[in-house]
Parts: sequence; structure tokens; C-alpha cells
Amino acid sequence: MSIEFNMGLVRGLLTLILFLAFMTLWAWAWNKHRKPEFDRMARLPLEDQERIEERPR
Amino acid sequence: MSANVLPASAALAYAGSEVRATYNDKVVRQFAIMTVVWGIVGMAVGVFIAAQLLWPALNFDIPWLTYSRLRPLHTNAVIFAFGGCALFASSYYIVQRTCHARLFSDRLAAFTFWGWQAVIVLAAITLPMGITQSKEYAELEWPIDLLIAVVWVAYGVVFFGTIVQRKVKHIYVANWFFAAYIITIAVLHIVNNVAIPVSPTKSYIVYSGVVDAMVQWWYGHNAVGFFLTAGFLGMMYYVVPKQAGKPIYSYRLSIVHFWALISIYMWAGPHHLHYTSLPDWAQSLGMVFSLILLAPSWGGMINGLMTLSGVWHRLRTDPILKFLVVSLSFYGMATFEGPLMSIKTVNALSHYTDWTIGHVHAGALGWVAFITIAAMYQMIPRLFGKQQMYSVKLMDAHFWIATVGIVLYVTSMWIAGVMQGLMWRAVNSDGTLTYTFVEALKATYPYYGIRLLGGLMFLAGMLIMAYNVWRTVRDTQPVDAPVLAPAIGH
Repeated sequence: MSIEFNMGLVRGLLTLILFLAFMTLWAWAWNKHRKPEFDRMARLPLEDQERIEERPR
Repeated sequence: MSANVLPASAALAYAGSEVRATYNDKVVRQFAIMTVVWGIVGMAVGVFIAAQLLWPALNFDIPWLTYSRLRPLHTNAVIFAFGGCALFASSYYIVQRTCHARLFSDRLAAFTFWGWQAVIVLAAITLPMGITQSKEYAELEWPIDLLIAVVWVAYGVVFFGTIVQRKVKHIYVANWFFAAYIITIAVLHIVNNVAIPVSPTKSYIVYSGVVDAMVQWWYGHNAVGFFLTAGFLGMMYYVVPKQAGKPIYSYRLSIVHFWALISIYMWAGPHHLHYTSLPDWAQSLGMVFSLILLAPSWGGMINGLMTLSGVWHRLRTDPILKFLVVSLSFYGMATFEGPLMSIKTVNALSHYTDWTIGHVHAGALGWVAFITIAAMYQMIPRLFGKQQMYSVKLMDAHFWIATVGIVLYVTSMWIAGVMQGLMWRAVNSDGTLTYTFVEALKATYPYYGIRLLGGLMFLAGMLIMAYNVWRTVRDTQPVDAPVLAPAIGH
């Protein structure tokens, strides 16, 4: 007997995979170990400002 | 005045005897100035056609001045000329400063500037002539579409080339948003404009019927999602922390809401086709994804507003912060209203009415134009070697006249839209329509007047901005900022 191709099952699995992918991303982003790195990255837009103030006028 | 001008040799003096690389700020200055110019042109056309809705005789029986030809000119000018130049300017400005690298290629960058201006001029010529593909926000005919594609690929090469040359390990979140916007717009533009040309000014789109409608609104809604949202969120993620003088409230929230936003926006297009011949399941899918979109949209709004929350005391003295707060508030409002309007039963009332026009302008004037104005007020003095704009008072005047203008515009269109929806669907006990279309139109007249006033006020604000910008830059010697070494730790 051939296994009937079940589109509903495929859709359900795809939804589950995407949901897990999102949860993994969330867990990755909220991982405590990343905090110091993210804090440094978040300062990137502020760095030229600090340096501009040092520039001679 | 002159005390504020950075000496032309500042870049060299800073580095001592060593000759240092500078950022390519020339192309940024060009796009920044043209943002203001095209903003005025596009909004002036909008004001003119708003007046035509009130006084139809204003087309003077000249075909080039008819509403049907000027409306696409207005939308193309404000979205792609004003918004486009703002995105080019800010993405080039931000990618260089957050990557600590000069733009990948000066020649290609210059080509994107002149190529984009050529597209805008060609649009301004062909649209009033009635040369159009008749696809909303994709009206331009195939030769111009080809030029757009070439310019856009060059834009991608310049942007990603700069990312590749970055001196820091990490790619700052603003650049993720710009990257998503550049890639997606390329895909949307090319797929939606696949056409068979029959003459230099006429082509036929390869799609037909409901497939054409679905491709068009997949394009149309993602133009909103990626051009008018992701691109301007990229701008927000630099301008807001910079103006607040502190890092973004939650960097990890920015990562999660970025991926959620770009994955979900793709599927929201069918809400433009509720109750049409598009299959019902596709309509429901579009509605569900539009509702989910509230979460990542508000993720961005909350991140921006929470960053600003520590600097409320500066609101009295810093008009740029005022623009940013109102901008993020309108972003939050418009992205709440959008999901609401995508619900099929709400859409049955709101669709085809002026409520849609009000919604679009809450987003376009409140969010897109305000964040752009804030970015320009922040960038332009720096690009021309000044501490700040010529007049803070004029920035303040701009803020208030534009804010009142938006409120008048949006509220009048809300009232007009709900009224139209209710009048159109009203039926007598015998099943006949209670009102004719003309009766609903007549009832809308006063609101068209208030809308015109709101639009005029917003345009007046842009004229104040133009004067302020001109006074800021007229006696300056533009200086390209030096490429700074990244701070320790990157």
C-alpha cells in the first residue's frame, strides 16, 4: 500500500519547525552569555559622537 | 556662525601628520539635500490633488493635470523620491559610521545618486503624460523599471561591499534592517514588473486576473513593509540612540523583532484583496499574518520609545527628540490600526473609503516623514561641519505645524471614511440602497477641506525646513568626516 501524501501533515510539521526556530532564536538572543557582547554592539552608533567631541574646532 | 564651521583641514589636523581616510559623505550630502527638495515637490503635488477633490475644476481640463495622472506622481514622489533619497542618505551615512569603513565604491555610489535622480525625473515626465503600467506604486513603464533595477543592484553592491569591508566584527542592527530592505525591494520590484514590452512606452504584465492582483499586492504590501518600515527602522536604530545619547533599550529585542518582522510581513499582502475573487483561504491567511504583525511592529516601537524614556527632560529644548517621540507614537498607532483594518469584518466597512487614506498618511506623514525629518536635522549639520541647525526655533515651528497638520489630516479622513462606509452599506427595509454614491461624496466635502488644510500645514513645515537647511549649509565648506578606528572590544 502506498502512503497517502498528507499535505495537512506537511503544513503542520512546517508550522512546528518554524515555531521551534523562532523559540530557538528567542532563547539564543536572551542567553545571559550574550549580554556583554550585545551591550558593546549597542554602543556602535554612539562611538563617532564621542570622538567628534575630541575633534579640534 | 563661522565659529561653528569645522576648518577644512580638520580631518587632517585630527590625525596629525598622517593622511587619514574619510567617509564618503559627498553622496550622503547629495541625497540629504534632495530628500528635502523631493519632499516639497511630492507633498505639493499631494496638496494640489487634495484641492482637486474639493474643487474638480482645478484640473483646468488639461490632461496632464488630471487627478488620475497626478495621484501616481504624488505617491511615487513621496515614497520613492522623498523616502528613497532619505533611505539612500541615511543608509550610506549609517553603514559607514557603524562599520568604520568608507563606502565600497565612490563611482558606484555616485551612479546610484544620479541614476536615482534620473528615475525620478523620468517618472515626473512620463506619469503626467499618462504613460503607466496601471499597477499601484509600480506605475513606471518598463524602460524606467530596468533603470531602477540597475541602480538598485549598484546600491546593493555599494552597501554590502561596505559591510564586507567593516572594521568591527559585528553588523549593527540598523544595517540588518537596511540589508533586508535592499534585498527584498530588489526581489519585489523585479517579480512584480515582469512584462512583455510592445513599444518603448507600453508593455503588458505577464500575470493576469487574480494572480496579477495577488502579485501586485504581495509587492504593494511589502513595499510598505520593507521600504517604508524596515528601511526606516534601520534609520530609527541609529538616529534614536544617537539623539538620546544612550544605547538602544534592548539589543536582543531588536534581533528577535527583526526576524519576526521580516518573516511575517511577506504574508500580509492578501488583506488588500478581502472580498474579491482571491480564494477565501488566502484572504484569511493575509488577515491572520496581519494580526500577528502587531507583535514585531510594537517590538520596534517599544524599543525606540524605551530608549527615549530616559531623556524626557530634554524634550523641551530638543525638537529632534520631539519628532522622534511623535514618529514612534504614530508608528505604534498605524501598526495597531493596520491589523485592525485587516480583520475581514472591519475591512468590509473600511475598504475603498477614506479611512484607508487616513491610515496610510498616519504612517507616511507621522512615522516615515517624521523619522526622516529627525534624521535630516541630525545628519545635515554634521555633514556640513556644523554643531546644529541654523535655527532651533524654526525646527520647533516645523514640529508643531506639521504635527497639527497630521492630526487634522488623519482625524478628518477617519471620520470621512467611517461615514462613507456606513452610508454605502445602509439599506432600506425593501433592500434598496439608502444613499446614492453622490450623497456620500457630498457629505465628505467638509472633511476634504480639513484634509487640505492639514496637508497645507505639513507642506508649510517642509518649506520652513528647506529655509532652515539652506541657512545651515549656505556658508559652509563641506568636510568629509574621518574614518574612526573602532573602539576597543569590537
